[in-house]
Amino acid sequence: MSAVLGISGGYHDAAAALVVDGVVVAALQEERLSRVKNDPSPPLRAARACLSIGGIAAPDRVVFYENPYARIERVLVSLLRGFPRTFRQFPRAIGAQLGSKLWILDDLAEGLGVPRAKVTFVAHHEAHAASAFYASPYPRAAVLTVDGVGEEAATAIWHGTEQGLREVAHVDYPCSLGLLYAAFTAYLGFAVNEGEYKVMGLAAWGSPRRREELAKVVQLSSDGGYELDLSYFAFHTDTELGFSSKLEALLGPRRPAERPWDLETAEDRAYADVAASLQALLEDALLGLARTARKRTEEECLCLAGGVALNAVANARIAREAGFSRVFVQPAAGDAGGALGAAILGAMKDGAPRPAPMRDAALGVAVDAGEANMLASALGFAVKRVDDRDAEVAGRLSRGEVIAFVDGRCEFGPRALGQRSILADPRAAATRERINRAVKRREPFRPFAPSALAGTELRWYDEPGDDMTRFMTTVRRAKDTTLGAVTHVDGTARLHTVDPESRFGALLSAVERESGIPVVLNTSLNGAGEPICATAADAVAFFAAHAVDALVVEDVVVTRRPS
Amino acid sequence: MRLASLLAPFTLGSPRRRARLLAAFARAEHASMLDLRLAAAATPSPARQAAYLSHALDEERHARTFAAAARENGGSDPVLGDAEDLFARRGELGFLAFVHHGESRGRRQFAALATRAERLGDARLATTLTAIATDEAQHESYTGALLVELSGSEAGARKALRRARAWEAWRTFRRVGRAMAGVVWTVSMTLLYFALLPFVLLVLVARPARRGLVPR
Repeated sequence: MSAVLGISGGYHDAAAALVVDGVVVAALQEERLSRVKNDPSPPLRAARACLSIGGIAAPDRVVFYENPYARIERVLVSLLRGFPRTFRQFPRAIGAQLGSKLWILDDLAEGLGVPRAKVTFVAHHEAHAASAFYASPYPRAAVLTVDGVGEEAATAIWHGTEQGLREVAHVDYPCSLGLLYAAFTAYLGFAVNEGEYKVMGLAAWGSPRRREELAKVVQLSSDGGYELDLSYFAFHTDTELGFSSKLEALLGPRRPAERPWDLETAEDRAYADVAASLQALLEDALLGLARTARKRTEEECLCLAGGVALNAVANARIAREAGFSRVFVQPAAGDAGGALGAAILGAMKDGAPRPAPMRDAALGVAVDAGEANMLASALGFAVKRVDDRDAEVAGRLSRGEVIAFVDGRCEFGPRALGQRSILADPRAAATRERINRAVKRREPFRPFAPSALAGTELRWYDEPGDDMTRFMTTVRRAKDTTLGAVTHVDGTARLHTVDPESRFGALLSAVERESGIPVVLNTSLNGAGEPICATAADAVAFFAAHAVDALVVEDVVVTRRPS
Repeated sequence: MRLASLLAPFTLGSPRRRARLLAAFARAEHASMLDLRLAAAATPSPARQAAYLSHALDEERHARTFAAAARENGGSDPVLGDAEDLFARRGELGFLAFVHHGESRGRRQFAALATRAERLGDARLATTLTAIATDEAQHESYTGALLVELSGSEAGARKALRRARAWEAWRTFRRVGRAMAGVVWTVSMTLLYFALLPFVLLVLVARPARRGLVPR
């Protein structure tokens, strides 16, 4: 038996994944257990949880998702290239590298109690590429990895075949689409590594009227490459700020972070236009890269990975226009997915077979309904066990209730796919308003996703589901406004198609029997600034602190007692 | 109590200082919430798990309240704290002693600041602080009872508290040391940075930045 533990971390979204004899047994982000959103610290809790799920005392090998020595070299070279503007960044950047990041392999060995010789690494973008290609259903594919930065590359094109992964071309730091998006995320007043989704949601409210101006910021070349005009940015010279005053001179002053959003005002509409222009630019850049990947590999299928691959709107455009017949994005496409890729690469290097295609993302810790029962009772809530959980949930949803829903093992990645979800009726647009303001306490412009029984989606959407809708990593255009709560302002929805044979599929069938449509509004089970719930305690705490009508943990239903 | 009373006029003196103080409270409450959530996941006792979770919910509410108050005063400082994982590091008794000590100090501090806020005519802040001080008193009470239960006696609880105070003093000493080392590091690294000028030229010649799509 061969058990390989993959680890990502150090920057944001640390995670662990366990592959045993070529089977992906567990994968989990550290934030789910530490309760620190996007927790970057070495994921020892997640690693131990994965080992516990797999019944493994100690892994045969631990594989880290990047080369820490190449990373420090790149940091040093980059600081020297930026001389003398990097003088403020130098002490902090070198301090961070020498203080902790350089010793990550030793820290993992010590923390997990394995000999140092058993802790190895793979390259950052190779881990990303492996997480997408080897989790995909394709025997051969072009692979495009796009994120902030790895050791040196910020973007890479790969060719995945039966023989393995081979790099075709790359774009080096500091020209990075991930850091471009991050800089604009900061410009628009959102937190970097957290607010990127918000920028994507905001883009639908604007018009890409600033696209021409952004052509000065990023130049796209005919070979699919791109180049950032670094004078508009500061991420390479300053640890605090991603953009320079020149960008503000071009687009106007940055948006104050603390000001509430009001898209009725011209000022905020102008920021939405910037978001829309950025989105258009990103899509053009990704499309160029994808077309080049198609040309250089001559493959029919494409896999995408890296944080930028979580941009569902861009993924939909790539699927339509890049010339591939099929496109796949696994749900933890960001740095967390690097742990999965590292584990798979390590296992395959040890002779394990390629894993089976990923069918669902329920790879995390399981929930204990008995614990939820005990805790909810202790906190004074009304608790009951039900025989037909799905009928209970369907009935409540049809009465307009908003349900916190917990079932089985938690999802790997940032998407709620029916294991840790907030569910509601997808029809009334007012439901979206209620959940945004009263439950999630987030910006009013942000959309929610629909989960629909696979095979029924053409009743509401223009195209059928595909390899991406299974994991909610693309969008579809709605035929009408029937599903008002899950249709974004631009008429799109981040569709999630659900296997009718799955437990969540059974729930959707019950919903159809009750309401006539096998669709629910599905958003992640977390409040503002919190990681998605993992355990029963997390779910009960969420229920206690947020205005949902009921909490359903497997067959346990928790409600508030009438006052 | 006395120190908090003495400092109150300075910390609440202007909206900016007030915002900074309230953001610091939000961070402390958020950090406490995280530690309590970790403790709830780690304790072997279902009753204590429920108690820690309930306490964590209060801390989360306090953090949100302080963060909102900081924003109302024009603050933009971060309001999310970091967990120290005191349960894993100090054991359950040490964790409880530390929490009890912190709640006791928080209650006194908030009460003193509430009095000062009332004198300054900020009735809203005074009410907020008084309400949170009341919660802190309840937390102090239940953690005190649990301390006695876990240590087996009043004397055992007092001993655990003495250890918690000593550990906190040691932690403060290390934090100050780290801050001073940080200053020394920044100065020395800045000097080193400028001494690296010859290497800058070397890097520019030997390792020029590659632009665009680079074939492998």
